[in-house]
Amino acid sequence: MNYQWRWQVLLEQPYLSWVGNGLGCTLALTACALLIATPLGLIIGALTATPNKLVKGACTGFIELVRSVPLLVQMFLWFFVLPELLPHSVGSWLKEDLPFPEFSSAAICLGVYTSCRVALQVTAGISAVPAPMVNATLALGMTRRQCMRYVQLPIGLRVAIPSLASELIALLKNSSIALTIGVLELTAQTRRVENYTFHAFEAFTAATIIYLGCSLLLLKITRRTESATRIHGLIR
Amino acid sequence: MRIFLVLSAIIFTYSVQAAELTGTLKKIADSGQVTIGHRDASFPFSFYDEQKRAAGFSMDICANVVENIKKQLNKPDLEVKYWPVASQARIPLLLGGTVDLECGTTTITLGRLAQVEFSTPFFVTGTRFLVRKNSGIKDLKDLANKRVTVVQGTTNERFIQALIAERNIPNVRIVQTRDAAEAILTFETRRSDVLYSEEVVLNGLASKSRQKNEFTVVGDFLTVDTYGLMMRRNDADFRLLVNRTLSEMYKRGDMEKLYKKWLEPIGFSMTDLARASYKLGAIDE
Repeated sequence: MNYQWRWQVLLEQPYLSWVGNGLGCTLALTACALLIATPLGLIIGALTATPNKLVKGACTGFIELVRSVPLLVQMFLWFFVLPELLPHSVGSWLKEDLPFPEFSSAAICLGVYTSCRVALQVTAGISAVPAPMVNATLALGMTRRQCMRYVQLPIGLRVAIPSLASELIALLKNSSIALTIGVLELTAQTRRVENYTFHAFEAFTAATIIYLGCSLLLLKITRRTESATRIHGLIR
Repeated sequence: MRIFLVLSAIIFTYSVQAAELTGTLKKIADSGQVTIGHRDASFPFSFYDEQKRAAGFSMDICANVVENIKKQLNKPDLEVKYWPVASQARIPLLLGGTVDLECGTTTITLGRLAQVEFSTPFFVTGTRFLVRKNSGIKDLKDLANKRVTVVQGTTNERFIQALIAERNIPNVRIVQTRDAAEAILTFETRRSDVLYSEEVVLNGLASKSRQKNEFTVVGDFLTVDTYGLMMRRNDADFRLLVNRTLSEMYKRGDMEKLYKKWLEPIGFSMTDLARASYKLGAIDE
């Protein structure tokens, strides 16, 4: 192929700082979404285990709804459709006065989407706690709430760590979908570099390596967490 | 008599192939097919029409190029393939040989010329602003405290950012969207006050909008953009064929017909600048 390779284009300004800003934006977006997803996911996941049928039904309904709509569509719905459905004053506040409108919408969308993934993993973790163990805690006189708080969640979450790690990495990569509503994250900045310089292979190789590096780093951190929080004597 | 026929056939084939074929022309002759790269939604230049066929202003020009390729290679039954290219994929697909000629809305820039080759400009336009009629925005200086939508990574984005910085226009928020369809959506839903792009693109987008009566295009040309057909570099013979085709079309007055067919329906007529560029492009035989 008659392609003019020029790797140094990545080190030239402004392209270098574009990619740098893109990485910063991707990490910030991932972090904000994680801040939304973790508490929301934990609560919803734990609530699916309640005996209350109404609460349980609402939580399962939420999970099924959010996980069956493509993320790209959700991004559009949050950004373009939601402000039109709300009362006019709220809608125009969202469109005109919300600080960093694209970034905030993307963070909320990613956060809600990931929270349903987290809830699923938490539910799976909780159900992995053996029934005899739950019965034993109840027999000891603990309430259901105490059983959840002191036995099911601590053990269930430890079981769920590897799959939560995959969700974290998926979140990092999903953040690239935010480019469709105009967030200049890593993929968007890479495309921008490509569009300006026409050096597609160099730009996208750099992005690939950056995503790979971030994923491996996250994986390493979660592995550490897994071994640091392990309860000795407990199977798994 | 039969010998004479065979002889004349040999002589004829020889004379056609006398000039050694190189580059893209050789590739086309060897494979018996030419692949045209086109866009899917660059209305009215290169897009899918209702029958899902690639059509548009640029595609009509490319049809002429294909005719000339057939003539020059003496292959009337040359197979023509159409390949949709996204703007990010156009360079790799072209350089990798998947696509032989890109017929879209690619602006000629020096940076791009380091990687690919362009034909002489087949279309001249300039950048202006699409605004709401009641917005009071008339010119560049009115952009203060406004939100301006541009398509990510275009030459326009780079230019408007630099211009705003240079003229010290205060508090302009640039909203970058992925493509033109999202840019008009952002503008329609009042997420931005101004859409900045090439005039012909603005006309095309506005003409398809339900709110088109509320929109208007304002301001002087901030830049002049020229569109070229894109091909591989260092391929003088193929470029000559493409430029010859364009030149013939200019001389025949084909461009007026193409304007009537594609651009006048969206309220865009030939500017003096465009007329001059076609005069200059009509190179003598």
